Amino acid sequence: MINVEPLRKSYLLENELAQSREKYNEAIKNNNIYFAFLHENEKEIKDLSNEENLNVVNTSNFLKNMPVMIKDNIAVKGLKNSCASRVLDKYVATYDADVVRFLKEKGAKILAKTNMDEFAMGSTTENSSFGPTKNPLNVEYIPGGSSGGSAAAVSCGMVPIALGSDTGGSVRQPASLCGIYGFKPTWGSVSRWGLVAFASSLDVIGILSANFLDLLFIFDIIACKSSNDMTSITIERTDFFNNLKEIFLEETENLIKKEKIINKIKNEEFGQKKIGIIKGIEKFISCEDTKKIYFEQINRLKKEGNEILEIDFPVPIDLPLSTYYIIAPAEASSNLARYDGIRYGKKLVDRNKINNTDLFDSVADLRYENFGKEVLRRITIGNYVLSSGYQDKYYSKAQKIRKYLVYKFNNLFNDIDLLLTPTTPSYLKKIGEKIRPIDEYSADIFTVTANIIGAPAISIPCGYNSKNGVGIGMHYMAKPEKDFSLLTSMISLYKEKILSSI
Amino acid sequence: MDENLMKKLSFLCRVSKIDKNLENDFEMILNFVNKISNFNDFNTDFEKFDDKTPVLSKKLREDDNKNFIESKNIIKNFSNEEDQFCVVPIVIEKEKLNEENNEEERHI
Repeated sequence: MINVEPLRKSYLLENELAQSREKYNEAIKNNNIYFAFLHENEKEIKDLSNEENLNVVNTSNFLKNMPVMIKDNIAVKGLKNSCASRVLDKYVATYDADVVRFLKEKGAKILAKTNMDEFAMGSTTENSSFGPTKNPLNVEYIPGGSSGGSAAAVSCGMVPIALGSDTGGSVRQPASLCGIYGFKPTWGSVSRWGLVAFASSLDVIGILSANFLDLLFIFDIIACKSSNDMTSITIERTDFFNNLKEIFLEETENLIKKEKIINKIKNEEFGQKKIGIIKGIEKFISCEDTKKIYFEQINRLKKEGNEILEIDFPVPIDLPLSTYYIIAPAEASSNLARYDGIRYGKKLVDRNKINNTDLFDSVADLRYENFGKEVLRRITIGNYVLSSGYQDKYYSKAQKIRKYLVYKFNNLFNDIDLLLTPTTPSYLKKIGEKIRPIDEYSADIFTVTANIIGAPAISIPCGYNSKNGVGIGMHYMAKPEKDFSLLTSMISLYKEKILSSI
Repeated sequence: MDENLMKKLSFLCRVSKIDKNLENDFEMILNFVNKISNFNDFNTDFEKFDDKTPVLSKKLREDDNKNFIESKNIIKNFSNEEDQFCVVPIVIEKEKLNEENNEEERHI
């Protein structure tokens, strides 16, 4: 086991920036231990300890040259964008994704592209074609997935912030297992332009962070409507957030800003929150430590004056998981059909010599040889549930259940502000340990609902497994488009933790 | 499993074959997702429900003319109509760049 402290002070409010950046530089040298990133930006890494005017805040350097890593399915101009797949292993992005552009415009430096499950399909990061990432809290264990490389990079101190993508829990689950914050915004609140599609109606770009305030300000930068993504929307900021941002943008020293922000949080009247908990959820939490921490959190929140409401989950608790594993593979089978070696992906060898009769065989061989097992599993399921004779039984029914969940949660969020569950039912497995695919899928049981209904959700680090040191997170979900209310509520519910990290 | 079904699936997936292991996993996953067949407890008000959340809303995708026109302009640069709903024009951009470079080399 390697001891790391995953939670850190805010980078954006740091006084000794040069010193802290030197620590990131040192941590990056540990990539041979964790295998958190795949493709590095040598120039930016070299410049990490050579930046000047680190504390200057102006419009173009709002983020003070913050080092950031990006999941390997989000385009960064000039860096490989392989999606951890052999199919795209030679592809170098020719443009920046919207989120990358927004961060660069504010002064962020992109250091590397992080490891992931191939095409974001998996919960372990073992499905990467280039090898598994290790959990910095215990290198024998998986870091979760599919954004496991981003989670490990933040957890072991390579960067304060990393971006990932979340289709069924791929930001929140690894954040939980690596002991950091992981936030999945409302579907559409962050532009997907430049994100390689897995399941378009579920995919969202999310943030993994070692510090809550850093996460909050980064989200403010990336959450905006973009003309590149016609499904993107603008979401409302809370007054409390706007006040915090005003303080943050003041042209004063960090020490003064820190004091003002601390006072603002301490003196704010957040009011009592109505927090829903699910009747009978304990049957689905297989790890005893997770169960213990979950009930401890409920008791603490109750003692602090919040209202805890026990609710009946609108459908059987595991039904959203089955629904998800129909809709996501169906969309994936369509999105991944483009990798045929002709228009996209690894090129067919001697393509000019292939005549029409054996073109299909050549494409089929190329796809069979280059896609990993999990990708093949999912496109097989996806094509089956969409095929003639089975579409009504599976895909149409799953869509009906999805709409029903939207309807029920719409009503539910009239009675509660937040829904609390653990982020994951257990630490899942050691690296290399064989488990059935459906047991791996079950790691998403508490996270998929947020993707199905398009709601914002966050994993808050709340403890560690007593046997192996792997992280345990609590998961809060709010009504769609209430992202800033959710994040403001977290400041209210975890005030001490957040104040101590400023 | 039914051999014809596996052949049909390998055709639909455009892969040369479906391995025995994958066939076993496929059966297991199908049983797992089949739970949705038993759920029919939709409440009657649900039928009248007009969803306005972004995930399922048709309005969001259809009413923004400006974005739609801009997207159409982007699509014009694509080589194949099938690509018009791809969010990421991955390799085509690269190919265009290569072609331009080759073109330049020829001029030189």
